Amino acid sequence: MLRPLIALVVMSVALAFASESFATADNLFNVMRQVSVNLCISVGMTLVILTGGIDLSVGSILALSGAVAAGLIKSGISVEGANLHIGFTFFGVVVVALLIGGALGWFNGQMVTRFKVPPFIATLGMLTIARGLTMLYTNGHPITGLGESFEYLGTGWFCGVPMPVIVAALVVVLFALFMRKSPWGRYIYAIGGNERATRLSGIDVKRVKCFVYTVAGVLSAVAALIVTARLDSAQPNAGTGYELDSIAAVVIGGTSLNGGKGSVWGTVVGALIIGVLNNGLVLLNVSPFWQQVIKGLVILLAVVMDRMNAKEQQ
Amino acid sequence: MKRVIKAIAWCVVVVIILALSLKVERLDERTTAEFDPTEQVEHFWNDALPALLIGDRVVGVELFCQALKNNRQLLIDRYGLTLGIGAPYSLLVGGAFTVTEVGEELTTLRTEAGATFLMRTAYIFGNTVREATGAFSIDDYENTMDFNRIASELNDRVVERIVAPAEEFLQAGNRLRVVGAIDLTPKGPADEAFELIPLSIQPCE
Repeated sequence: MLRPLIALVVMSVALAFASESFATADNLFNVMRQVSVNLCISVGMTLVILTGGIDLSVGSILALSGAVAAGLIKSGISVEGANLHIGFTFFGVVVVALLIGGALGWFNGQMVTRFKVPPFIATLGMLTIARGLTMLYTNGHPITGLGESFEYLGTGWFCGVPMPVIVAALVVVLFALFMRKSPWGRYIYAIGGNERATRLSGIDVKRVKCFVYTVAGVLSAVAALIVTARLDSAQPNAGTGYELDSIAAVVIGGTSLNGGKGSVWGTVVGALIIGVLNNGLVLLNVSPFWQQVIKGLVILLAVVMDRMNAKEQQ
Repeated sequence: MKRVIKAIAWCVVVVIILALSLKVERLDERTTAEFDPTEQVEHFWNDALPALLIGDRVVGVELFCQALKNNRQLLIDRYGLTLGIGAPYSLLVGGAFTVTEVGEELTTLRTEAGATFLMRTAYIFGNTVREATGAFSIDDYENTMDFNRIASELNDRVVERIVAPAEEFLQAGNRLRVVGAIDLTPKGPADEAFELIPLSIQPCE
């Protein structure tokens, strides 16, 4: 984790000199707000990658959870046969969004563990399914005007800190503790290190893996709530490309794509690097096309360094 | 026994979550009006627009031109309305103009001070009218398509109910009193020829 941290510090200092707008409180809060969405998804992705898997469906799960949450808080559900209208409170839509995220993640887990579908394929399928369901639910239109209480989650401040940052910080601390202190955290590392040995030592690998994909789904839903609240609307194409940003954050943060090695804190640094890089390139007026090229090169560099490290250790 | 207690505890948790999450009401007691952009716009057009066009939301054209030279931002802060968090801002401008040229889509108007405005009389698109009136909020609509239908209805009415009846006055040399909606960005030349979408056209007496 030391190398990415040094890279983050060097990059931040360089940007502070290159652009006078970078090191301002407004801009740093802005970076943190932007990073918070990727961070929530990336924490879930860290757990998945630590087991040696991958989850490509996080962006689509985000879109579906956000759309359903927005639809429910806006219109609720009318049951004409029973002459009932069920409205949803803010708490209610949070619960439903997390349940949807969790259910889709659990489905991914079942595909990977029970039906032995490679994680890449299983989650690629879910990527398309969830995106299609989002389009069906929204008819391809954004759902807007979700009310102030919902909006507060994305744009509000608490004790001088933006709400999205508080949510992301809670997620990070919770899962950093979970990975370090709980037996399940150790099981996750163990599965990534040597799945067969873990199974032979009596750990229910299928259950742990399924749990990990479920967590990734739930955290995508958390990110969905932040994005939807921040925009005060659910966009049917929300979350497109988020899977790549989160994988990039995890890999740059030092988590091995082979599993078994890495940490939530490393992912925090990785997400900050991606966020600072995005922000810095915008402040320096770099063309959006070049921004993509540069981001891609940074990700490749991180993976190459990971491979070289692994080789050295062998 | 332990299992029963566990099951009861779970049930209690579920009931509490449901109670905190849902608001159940009878469907027939719920006042849900079907979305009808025509009716909404008609209501606004008949009941609110006339007062709006003679109210203090309309900036006089001479003041508008002066403010463009001296303090564009003040003009935006005082009169500008925007859908999102930035430009363009829409506002209502009104005053006396002389028709200098009549085109198929645009009629050129000149103020006494010599400023030029292009009054759009056909192919009216966009949200300028909707935003400038300030009468419609996106929060009141299910989705942006519905909100855009309001803009479209307003634009259609401008052509049918403002431009068509005023065609006889649209001749070069005629003096008109026009109130219309324009888009304004924070930066731009002071002598910019603004496109104006008319909401009222009357001959000057």
